[in-house]
Amino acid sequence: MMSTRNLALSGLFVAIMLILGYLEKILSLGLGYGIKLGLSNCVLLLCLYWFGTPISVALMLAKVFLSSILFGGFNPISLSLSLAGGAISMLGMALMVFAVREVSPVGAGVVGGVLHNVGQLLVAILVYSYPLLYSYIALLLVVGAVMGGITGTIVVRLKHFLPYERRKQFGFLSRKDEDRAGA
Amino acid sequence: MKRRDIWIIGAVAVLAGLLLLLGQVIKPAPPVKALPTLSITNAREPGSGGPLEEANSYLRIRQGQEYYHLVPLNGPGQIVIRQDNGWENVIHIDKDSVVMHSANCPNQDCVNMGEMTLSNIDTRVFQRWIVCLAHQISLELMPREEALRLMEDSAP
Repeated sequence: MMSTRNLALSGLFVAIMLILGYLEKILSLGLGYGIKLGLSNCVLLLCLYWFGTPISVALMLAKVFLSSILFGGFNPISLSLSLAGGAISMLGMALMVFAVREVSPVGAGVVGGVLHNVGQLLVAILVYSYPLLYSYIALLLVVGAVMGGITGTIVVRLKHFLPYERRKQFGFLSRKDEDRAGA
Repeated sequence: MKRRDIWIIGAVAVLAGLLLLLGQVIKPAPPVKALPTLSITNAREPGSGGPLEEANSYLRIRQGQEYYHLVPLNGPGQIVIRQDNGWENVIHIDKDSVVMHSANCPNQDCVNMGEMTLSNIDTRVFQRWIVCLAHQISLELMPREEALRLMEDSAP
């Protein structure tokens, strides 16, 4: 059962993701070429550390559907691509965080960013007959890695907000935590 | 950053480099056949399935899995594609060039892909394509030889 605190936090996180997505859209932070910065991915990565996989998947689904309804005209093709990108990116980040371990949020962010772009493009190619352009895939890989690195770095900066138990689980304890534990 | 982070970043960089090389080596395969089934409102009449109108380059428009006629790019004109659900794309053509002038799709990626000409298709990221993924429309620019081959291949 989800605690009231986590429920409130989840709602807040979805709201932050929607606002980040909207800001990217209205400030035209998209880089052209159909590339988006994907700032909201740092919220999802933080959620993975904070709540674990099932709740993070639910938040990802909420974000994808709500932003499609609010900002995307509920276009079925864009929605299916967002879903594919979100799902494969979430899978990759969850594997990095919970299975591979020994990977910092930066590595998990890179994997998430790259897989988000590649997942979307794969679905576009396989389902919607998008042309297979190797140089475009290469560009998406690099942009996904750079943006994933940035979102991962943001999560590194935010990790001290995680509950103590989670910080301990992921080896994020600071010196202050250790001093307190030792006292 | 941990050592595995470096591995991940290195792997992505190597993969991107390989794909870039691959993109230089492998050129897109020539299209297979043309199926002129949908209609468009067009300031210029597209090829009627008969001999190709004289031009250096042609535009092949595709919506979903269906192809339109080949449109000769031999002068200024406008192509409007309206779909039953209200989706609309306006394409401006000129001699050997084409641009997605406007579209009522949510992301406007196709409009941002800029002008495609016979001389810039080797250097564009999207090569000889302008794609409106949200409306499932793709525009493919092809030189005359390829268009002729296409007509031969799809002749009954």
